[in-house]
Amino acid sequence: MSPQPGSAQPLLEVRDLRVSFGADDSERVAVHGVSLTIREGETVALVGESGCGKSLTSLALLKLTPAGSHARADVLRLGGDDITGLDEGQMSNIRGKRIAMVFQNPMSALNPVLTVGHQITEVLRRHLGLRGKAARARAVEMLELVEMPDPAGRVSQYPHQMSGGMRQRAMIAVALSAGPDLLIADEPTTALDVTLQAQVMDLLQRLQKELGMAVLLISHDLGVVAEVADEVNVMYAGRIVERADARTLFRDPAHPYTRALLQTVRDLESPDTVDLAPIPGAPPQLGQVIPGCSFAPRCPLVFDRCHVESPALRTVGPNHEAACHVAEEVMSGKGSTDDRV
Amino acid sequence: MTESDRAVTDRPLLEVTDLAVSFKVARARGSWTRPVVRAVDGVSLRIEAGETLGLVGESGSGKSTTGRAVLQLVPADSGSIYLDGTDLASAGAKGRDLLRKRVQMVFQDPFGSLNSRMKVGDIVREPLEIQRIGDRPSRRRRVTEILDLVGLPADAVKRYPHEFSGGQRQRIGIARALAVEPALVVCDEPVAALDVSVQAQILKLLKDLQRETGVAYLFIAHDLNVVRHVSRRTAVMYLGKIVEEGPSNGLFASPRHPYTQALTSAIPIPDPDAPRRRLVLTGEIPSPTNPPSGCRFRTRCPHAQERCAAEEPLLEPAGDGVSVACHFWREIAASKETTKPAAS
Repeated sequence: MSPQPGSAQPLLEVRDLRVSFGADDSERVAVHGVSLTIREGETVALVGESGCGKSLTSLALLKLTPAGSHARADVLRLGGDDITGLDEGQMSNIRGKRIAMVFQNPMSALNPVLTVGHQITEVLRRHLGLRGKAARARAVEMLELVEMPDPAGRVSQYPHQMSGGMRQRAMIAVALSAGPDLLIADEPTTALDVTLQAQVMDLLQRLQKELGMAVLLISHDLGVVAEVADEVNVMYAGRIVERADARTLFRDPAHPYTRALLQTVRDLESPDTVDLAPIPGAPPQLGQVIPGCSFAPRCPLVFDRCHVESPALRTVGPNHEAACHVAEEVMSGKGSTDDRV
Repeated sequence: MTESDRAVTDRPLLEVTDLAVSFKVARARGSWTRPVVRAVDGVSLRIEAGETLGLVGESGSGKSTTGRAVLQLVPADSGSIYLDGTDLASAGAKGRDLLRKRVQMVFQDPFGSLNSRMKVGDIVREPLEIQRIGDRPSRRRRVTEILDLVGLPADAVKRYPHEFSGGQRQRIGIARALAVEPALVVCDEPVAALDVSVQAQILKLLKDLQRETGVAYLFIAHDLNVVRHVSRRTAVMYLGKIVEEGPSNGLFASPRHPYTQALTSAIPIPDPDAPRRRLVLTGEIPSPTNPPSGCRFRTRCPHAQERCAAEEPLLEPAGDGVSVACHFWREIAASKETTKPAAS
């Protein structure tokens, strides 16, 4: 990865993250050597379809991968500290305090039998040592910050007493209450209707600016990503296949997968007279071993080398990396919609 | 009696007039009565043979209930549904037979809507058996033919749903719906559970099938891009009412109702350089147990005035084949002309 001159110091750095399931002989690799750098205050997006390993990658940053999985990384640094070898107790001082997370479904992320106020004060007590009235007052402030209607009243309500949008706000309030440096947002608006989605994305962007946090946005929605991300990482079958600043990625995609996805989304935006040219086939399933490039079976530009040699992520332009043998051809527009079969 | 109705020639394939559906919900503590939710409140729709009508709206808008009421999966309080010129309500059991033969449904959840203990061949054959269409060999031929048509391998017949991916299962659901050669398929969020690349495959399949078989769709979805892409005409629902209806291209390009304007402006654009003129609505859709008086959208409408609380706007023609239910659509359109970036 080319270091950016004059850029802020990395807040989070991961090198060669691998997550696999099962024992050695039946090992199924879900994340193959993902590297990510997130700088202070920056919004980095991890985009991909279900099963590409994007959520697993984000969970591995918090050492929260599910039971039965093995996650290891060559480097895992947070604000310059190596956190690779931290145990559960030490990690729990980081979770919620320095890295917090919001999820797609607030109903399963919030505790249904505790009031929203309780769930916020729990974080305040654990990480900031606030108790009693001070904690309560801070909880109301947090709800105000996330634009919860009637924060003083809502603080003593349970999640089921709130609407979907309010729950989403409550979950964001819980996540932000200890003032994390990094917020991982895993599909934060996927379950919401468009008008609510716009409200929540605006809220997240405002909070990020006000609180100076970095955000790792996990999403499958290229539209949402285009609106908020500084840098975009596209994942396919457990690997990052392209990385660039948002403008470059949306304008000059260098990986055939990125380009096909963008084409699909743009075709959908157009009237019903335009014919869709969907990517054929389906992504490989977990544990399915594909020799060479894992996108080869669906790629319009596939040739002999793709079935033999897995392309590494390489620099294809300023601030732009792609894992494709013919990235240059993709960028020059070869094999675009017109000559797709 | 049905014969005389059928004689009317200019009837569309499906004509729904003033449909109303309500549900009783659990009563609140300390209350004796169960509140009534008017999920669909005076909805009228027309679908011509071979055409697609999109029905968009947020959760709680009543779009799915409308689709279910058309299939008589939920009882309607009032309103009429004419299929091929036959009034389904007065035709009784005969009407139900006609309905099941002519109208089928594709569901959102490709996992929950297929019986996991049945083989795919049996799932697709079942509607033919229920409708007593053909004999055993012809049904078998039809199953093979339809599986091929939706792009499933021939050996799918002997396999179980769990062996297939989400997109392939949705193909099974589509095959089952099309097996009896219906004239109309109600598609309730058929691609909402799928990834973008698979979504595109299913949408393309639905469009190809329409071209080949002439089937009409009532396409219910919350995703505006998806609806715009598949539907020639679109109806926008809010709290049980249609607020705007018309040809998709015009409706999305220059929405007249403030709700449609907010919806279309909220669609994220996959281009970081695209100008953002987002009209963010405050609040959420109110509870349908106690909808606002007058215009139901007024509590979130940036243009609301006194008249909106007092008087309910009715759908009226607004040019280019569009109908809109707003007292002030002319004024809103005029102010948009003068101040171009009309976002707050």
